[in-house]
Amino acid sequence: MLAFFVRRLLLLTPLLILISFGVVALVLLIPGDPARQLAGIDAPQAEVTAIREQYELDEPLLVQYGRWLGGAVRGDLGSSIFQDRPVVTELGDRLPVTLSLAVGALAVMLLIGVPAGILAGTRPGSLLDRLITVFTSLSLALPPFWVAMVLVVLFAVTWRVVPAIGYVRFTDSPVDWATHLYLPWFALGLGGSATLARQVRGSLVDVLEQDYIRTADAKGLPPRRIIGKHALKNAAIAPLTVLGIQFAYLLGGTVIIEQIFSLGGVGQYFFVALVNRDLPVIRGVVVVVALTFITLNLVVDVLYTYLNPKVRLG
Amino acid sequence: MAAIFALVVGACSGAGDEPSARGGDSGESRSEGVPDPDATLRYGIDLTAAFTGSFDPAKVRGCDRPILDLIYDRLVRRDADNQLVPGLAKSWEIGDNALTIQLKPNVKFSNGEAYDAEAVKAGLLHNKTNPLFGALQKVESIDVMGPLELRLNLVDNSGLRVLYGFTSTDSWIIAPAALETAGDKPVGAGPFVLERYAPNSRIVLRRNPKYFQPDRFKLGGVEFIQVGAGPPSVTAIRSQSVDLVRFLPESLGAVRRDPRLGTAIRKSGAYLQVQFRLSSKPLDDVRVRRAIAHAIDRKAINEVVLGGEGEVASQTFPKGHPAYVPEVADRYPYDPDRARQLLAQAGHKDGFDFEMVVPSGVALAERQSVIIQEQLKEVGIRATIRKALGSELASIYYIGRQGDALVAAATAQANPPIMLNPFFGKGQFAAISNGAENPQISDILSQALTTQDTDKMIDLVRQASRIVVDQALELPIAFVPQLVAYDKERVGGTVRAPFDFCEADDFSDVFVKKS
Amino acid sequence: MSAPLLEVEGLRVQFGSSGGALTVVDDVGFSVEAGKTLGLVGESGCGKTVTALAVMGLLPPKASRVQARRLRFDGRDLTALSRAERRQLRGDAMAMVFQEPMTSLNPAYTVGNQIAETVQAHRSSDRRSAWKRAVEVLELVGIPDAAGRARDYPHAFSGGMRQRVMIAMALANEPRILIADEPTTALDVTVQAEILDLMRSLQQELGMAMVFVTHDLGVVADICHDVAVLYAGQVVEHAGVDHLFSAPAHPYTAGLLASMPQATPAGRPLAIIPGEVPRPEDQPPACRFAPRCPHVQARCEAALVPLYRAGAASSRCVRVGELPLRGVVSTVDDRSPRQRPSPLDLPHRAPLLEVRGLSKSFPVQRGVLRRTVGRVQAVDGIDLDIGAGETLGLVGESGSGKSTVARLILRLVEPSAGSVRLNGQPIHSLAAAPLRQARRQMQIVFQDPYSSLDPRATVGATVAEPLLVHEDLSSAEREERVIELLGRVGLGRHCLDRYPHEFSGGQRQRIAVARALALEPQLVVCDEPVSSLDVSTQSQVINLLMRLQRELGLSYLFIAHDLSVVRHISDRIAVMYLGRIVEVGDAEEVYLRPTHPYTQALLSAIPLPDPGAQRRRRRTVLRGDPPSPLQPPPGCRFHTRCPHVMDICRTADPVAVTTPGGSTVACHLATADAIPAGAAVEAQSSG
Repeated sequence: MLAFFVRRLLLLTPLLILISFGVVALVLLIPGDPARQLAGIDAPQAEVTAIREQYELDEPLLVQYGRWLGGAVRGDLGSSIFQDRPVVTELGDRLPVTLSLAVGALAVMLLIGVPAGILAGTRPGSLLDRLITVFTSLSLALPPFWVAMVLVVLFAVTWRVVPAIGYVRFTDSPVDWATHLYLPWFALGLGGSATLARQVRGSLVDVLEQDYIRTADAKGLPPRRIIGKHALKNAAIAPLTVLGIQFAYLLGGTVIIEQIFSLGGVGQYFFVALVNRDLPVIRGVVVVVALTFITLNLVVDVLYTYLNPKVRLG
Repeated sequence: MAAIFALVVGACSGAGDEPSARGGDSGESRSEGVPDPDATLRYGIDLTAAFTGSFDPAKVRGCDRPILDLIYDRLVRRDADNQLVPGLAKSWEIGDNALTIQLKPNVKFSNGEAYDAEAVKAGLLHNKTNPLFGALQKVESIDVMGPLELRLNLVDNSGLRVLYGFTSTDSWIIAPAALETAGDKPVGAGPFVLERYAPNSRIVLRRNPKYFQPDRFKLGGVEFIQVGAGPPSVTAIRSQSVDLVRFLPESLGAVRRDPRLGTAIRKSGAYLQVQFRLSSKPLDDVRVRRAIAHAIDRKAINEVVLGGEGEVASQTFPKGHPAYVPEVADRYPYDPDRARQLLAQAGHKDGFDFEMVVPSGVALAERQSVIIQEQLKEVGIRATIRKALGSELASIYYIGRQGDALVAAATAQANPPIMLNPFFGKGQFAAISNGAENPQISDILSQALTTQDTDKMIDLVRQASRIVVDQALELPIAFVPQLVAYDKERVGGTVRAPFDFCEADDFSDVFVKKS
Repeated sequence: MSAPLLEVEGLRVQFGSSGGALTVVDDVGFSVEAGKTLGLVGESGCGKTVTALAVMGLLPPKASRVQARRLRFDGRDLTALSRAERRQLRGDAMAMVFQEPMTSLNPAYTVGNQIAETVQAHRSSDRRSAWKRAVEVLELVGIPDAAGRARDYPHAFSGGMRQRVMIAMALANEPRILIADEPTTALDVTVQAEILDLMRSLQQELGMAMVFVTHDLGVVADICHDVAVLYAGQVVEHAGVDHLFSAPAHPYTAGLLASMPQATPAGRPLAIIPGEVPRPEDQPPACRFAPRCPHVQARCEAALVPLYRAGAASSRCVRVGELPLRGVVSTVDDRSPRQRPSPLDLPHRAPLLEVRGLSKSFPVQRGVLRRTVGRVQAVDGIDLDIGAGETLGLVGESGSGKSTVARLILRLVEPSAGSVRLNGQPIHSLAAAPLRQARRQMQIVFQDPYSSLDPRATVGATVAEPLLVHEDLSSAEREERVIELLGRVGLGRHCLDRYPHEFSGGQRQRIAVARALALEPQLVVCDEPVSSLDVSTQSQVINLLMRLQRELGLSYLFIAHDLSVVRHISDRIAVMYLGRIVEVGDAEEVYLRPTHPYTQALLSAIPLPDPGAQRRRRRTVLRGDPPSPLQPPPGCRFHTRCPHVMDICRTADPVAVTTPGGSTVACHLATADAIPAGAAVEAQSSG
């Protein structure tokens, strides 16, 4: 276990460096000049040049990168070109929003997807199974933004049971935090829940045909325990392996969901930065998101070894 | 969406010039009721676009006017007819390479410090460090002539231009004690003071009891609430999460269907346009450009893209603007036959191919470009559309000089010569790229930019505008409406739509009703 | 005679909906007393497993329908019990052990957990005492360091050990009856012997009844007291084990006994039961065995056949009593000289295949940097010769390196050292083009006919594939060849456009053989070609291979773990242990006078299809699993399990020597000229 973590950490540093450098290089390939963008097309060239100098945009790629890296290791990711706030501060404000959103959506995904998958998977071919299949097909076909709009119109505009926009910090009011996020959670998590339900169902149907399920039955275990203990742990392996990818989809989805629900999260930050070609922000967000993913995959790997003892961390 | 819109247009706030006031169309909407003097107006706004993240004017990079203007107020304001009127300055005098300003007496910052010549000098010099404040860059030095009098020594004869700059961003003055800390603890002489700032979420302003015009506002406070531009802003007001929002023409239907909502609509000076690359064949031929002008049905575009709420454009300035030239208003009526005729004369009987660059994600520009494409097809011109993301646009079209035309939206500028100068003035970035540097226009505009006389300035601009229209150097399509929706049951008084996206709101006659 | 513990009468099991229900078990009856073992025997598809599952109540309730005139356990009518009550019996008074120990344990929980869970499901015991019980039963089934191993996950156990765990789990609540479904089929013969011994001794200790489902008559002879023979969903014969083997009352039983390799002298065609078990949807209306029966008469096909009593037995045959059915009179023990001399015995004939010093090791990588920390020596310096027209049998436990040898010879993997010559050509130094030519001379038939045929290719395409690659034929010529090849393996031209799934296992293996023959090879490597087949089908394939060898002069390398089959088809036998050949010699010599203690142990582990002989036999049972090839023992590799181990064995590698019988043996005992009397020989002669 320890060796596993050590190896992961050893791999982590070059990976992050690679990612951040890749982002710098990639952005240079995309045409666009943030200085001109900032100054406006009517600004004289001198003004643009001044801005370029101010933000050190004229320096060679490696110098820019080296400076950035030097700051990054001290926890300074630079400042946005368009906003006067350090990227780290901004991320500190925004990450909780996006994580609240993504983790909540993940919870929605699990709370809907897993039970639906279990219900369908333990009764393949039944009416319930077919109903759940219809639900999953529909949910997958519906784009998240559309779901979000419908939810807003119904719950926030027509019935007015939850607010349509905004974010309240958990520390300010846990209740308000949740009421503001119900709709985004659901809008973001629904599609994933359908995918998950399908995976759990398929996985469970497979597992229930395994010999060890028959063994459990032969031991006289009640069906609840056979499914709850023997089937689910094994059936969780396949969905878990794609959970990292699922979470990636969720994080991607936050961009549009944050826009619709006016949540000041990382997705919105990244989107605006991308449009404006706001290099420091793009770099910072990508590195932080990469870190999030690496952490997430680490968690998935640990969970995986718990579910599948054959896999040893080492 | 408005965020991108503003950013793409590029010429936005920074340059220090102000959207033009418009006559004729007041853009006002009234709702009766009894004011609650302590209530706060909840204003939905896209803070990612409208707030830089700092309350320090020297750091401003976006369209921060709606927020900062309420904290700092301005030396000079403009009335509905784009005339300069006193703000915190009592009067001014334009001299040769100089501008003298008299301040109003007994004005105090919210921390109690005096709003005097020394304070204003310090504030202006502080603001000058912001390279985006174009007008202030004309200030070489400042002399304090008396407790309430300053003289600004200018690099050239641009006093009028500096005054226009003062009507927007450049004259936000920080209290001397707060110069270093204004980034998150702003102290100004404006009608409101900052009470709370939650990044990316909300900004709460309370009434400033020390404001020099205590009766000017009827609001207890203004709370800016983060609302995504476009459809989210409409959902926000429909769900009563906010009391007032600006919105885009595409949402007009949804807003009008909601009986609770009132709207204030103003035809602004910002306009949909097609810029031509005059160096590119066959656009170098005036007959071809005129053919295109005849081929475009501007009225249809106004109906489809702007919900009929915009104003069909015949020139760079809208009707009622001092620089408007009525004589050229009908220069290019919609006439496909005439267009074909002109094309044939120019030797393009079978039309020609050209590429239009369009900012992607900017709904107005994208929708407009599709219609233009269709209409040009009618006369045999085969236009292709190339979309470019906001940040790439300048690189592709201006720097890379790819594409033959730019279909975009131009922002309104307060100082009339600035509407034309970037596109046709000598040495101007866009003008060079478009091959549109025009010595004649350039001459006229440089006079206009340095004259001390407003009337003369207007006259010169009209001369330049005439040439632009006659030579069809650009193609204005329609002036974009500025739209405000408000909750009639919460908001009373007169709601006015702003002149332009970046312009500050006028809340002086807005109140929240007693419930 | 005490009252039977389990009584089954008129058991019928149907699958599917009521409209298209398939009856897979029909009128099955048997009974078992406490302390006794009943064997349920028959080919696959006869309903053995379904019967066992029906008795346990393990058939899916929605998809199946179980009816019985009588289904009583310990005096209780099982058909009258609710599902919950049946469940209370399961794992408690009635326990079951399954065929596949590799997959029957849940990989996600420790074995201790899974056993303790069984205890807790039926006893109100706390976790600690349930765990204690788990360790206890693990000790009982002979797991070394049971307390420690209980915390291990199933994957840390070998197949044999897992089956012990399964048995321990079944025994956790001291069941009154244990139903074992082919519990040793997936295991090596040496491990099988251990498990059978274990089950027998546990039965005596606990006094429980056992139902033993198997297709292996040797196993039946070894462990059962009574036998019910199932055919096509019916019991066709029910008798005491001695009676059944000596005087079978049903032609099917007799056919099964006769088709065992031991029943036919080596080299001769094996007796077979022609055809295959009918599928449930096309059962013959009257006697279900009639179409395959050599004694069939018109009246057999006239009416349903009841179970007749015939002395101590009962038989579902209208001709019961009137048929001269042969039992296993005595196991064939022909010490007669070989039918034909080994081609190698002929002077001046170079061998077709020459293997010298062949070795293969695989690296084992571990750690942060994936360094190679060790090597698994899968094959360690072996020498082999196969003459033209000769069959060399290669036997050994799983993991001994047999299959690696096959892959090395075909150059599917590159050797670490040594050479393989075919017709004098060094296979491993050939360039691509000559290698292609050489490969034509060598073909392979795999163990699993289900996975070795492409399910999406027709039989015609499958057999034609090598022709497409290697020969330039017109499509008509090619089809002609394919039809001819199919004819050779006994399949008609109507098979051309069919797909593998339409064929039974035996037929698929024929298709695989036809494909192997397409390029007219000289050598066919058969890697466990009959291991997954039933005994009568196995005989058919063996007969086919032998016939083809005669007709085409083929050479075979015949790899198998079943020594009796290998002995039957082979001219010579090589025995492998941990990557080395420990004994090689004339087939009869190795089989009847094994010299190496390992060969002796292998032979004595094969249960004899003769209950009397099997009971009298003194067996050399090997304890434990083979050591890991990662760290092979020093000296003689077999010394850790050898019953005759001497000091020298622990340090010195034995040198191969030739025995008086002509075999080559690598054993210090042989070197010392102190060959112990072969245990197997003794058992053989006493039968």
